[in-house]
Amino acid sequence: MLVDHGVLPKGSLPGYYASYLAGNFRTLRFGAAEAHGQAEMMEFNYFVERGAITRDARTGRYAIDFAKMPGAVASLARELLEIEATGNRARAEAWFNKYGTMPADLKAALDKTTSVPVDVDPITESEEVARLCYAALIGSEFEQRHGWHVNLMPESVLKEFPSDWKSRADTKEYGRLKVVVPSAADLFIPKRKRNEPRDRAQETWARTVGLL
Amino acid sequence: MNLGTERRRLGQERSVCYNASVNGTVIADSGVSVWGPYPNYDDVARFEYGRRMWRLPDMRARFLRHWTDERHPYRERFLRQRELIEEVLGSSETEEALDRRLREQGTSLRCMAREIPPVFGSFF
Repeated sequence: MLVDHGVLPKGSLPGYYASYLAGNFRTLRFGAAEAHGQAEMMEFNYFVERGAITRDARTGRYAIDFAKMPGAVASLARELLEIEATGNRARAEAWFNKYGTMPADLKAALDKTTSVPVDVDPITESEEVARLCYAALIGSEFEQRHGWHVNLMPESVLKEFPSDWKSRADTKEYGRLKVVVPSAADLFIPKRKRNEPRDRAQETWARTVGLL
Repeated sequence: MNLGTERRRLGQERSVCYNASVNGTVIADSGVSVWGPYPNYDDVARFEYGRRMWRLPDMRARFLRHWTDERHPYRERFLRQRELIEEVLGSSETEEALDRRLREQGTSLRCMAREIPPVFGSFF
């Protein structure tokens, strides 16, 4: 709509769609159990059904059909807005049932990325390191290039861990940079306390890949 | 101390984080009272790292450029409270002392940390 009204350049549309799909994959890595992940899952499945997102069975790679994308976005918006406006519960439930599940081929594709972290939450006393972290925030060029971002945390977050967490931590030095990583078991203690669907999903994933 | 806000009493029309009962809050244990029993660590981080980066002139200029950028969704909100936010970021006292001073003005560190605008990596 913003392109139609001349607010955004038409030439940028493919970039916006590609960025959308990349963001979609990023969120889906948390799984479809969490609300945002489930919403993205339904959008993804809808676009696949409409042929706006395609998968090459030979390579397992996904691609965008830029010609079909505008129509698919418009019909998705119409569908969701109609459900919301009419308050039709049965229609909403049917929508969830039809589009809310992760297809096996997508799960297989995402499983290949489990070694890549989504974000890293460091605590640092160094101004130099903190300054570098600001260059790697969510949405940064760094994230676009490397697929993960940095989210600075305060030292007080360590109060959530057992007092002897350092005895189980891994330490590694990279030149002048010393990195101390708490054990996975300690990292999951506050998550278990918070107990949100994404926390449970992450714990399931951690067990699957042998972190716990 | 910022002379502009030193003696100012903040009211609902002055600050979105005004709370009439804030001065009555009992400060029992420092760790708990400043950030509450369930701290929002993103807010704490925004304050802690924001204050440290504020001391670096180039980062301070970069923050200000970012927060007053037309693309920043909280630009107007920042401009409405710029003086107080800059005062918080420019402070050097302990969290407890700063919180006490802010409470005298009708707000709190917990409220003000939330008012420090986020940084968006896409145009920072």
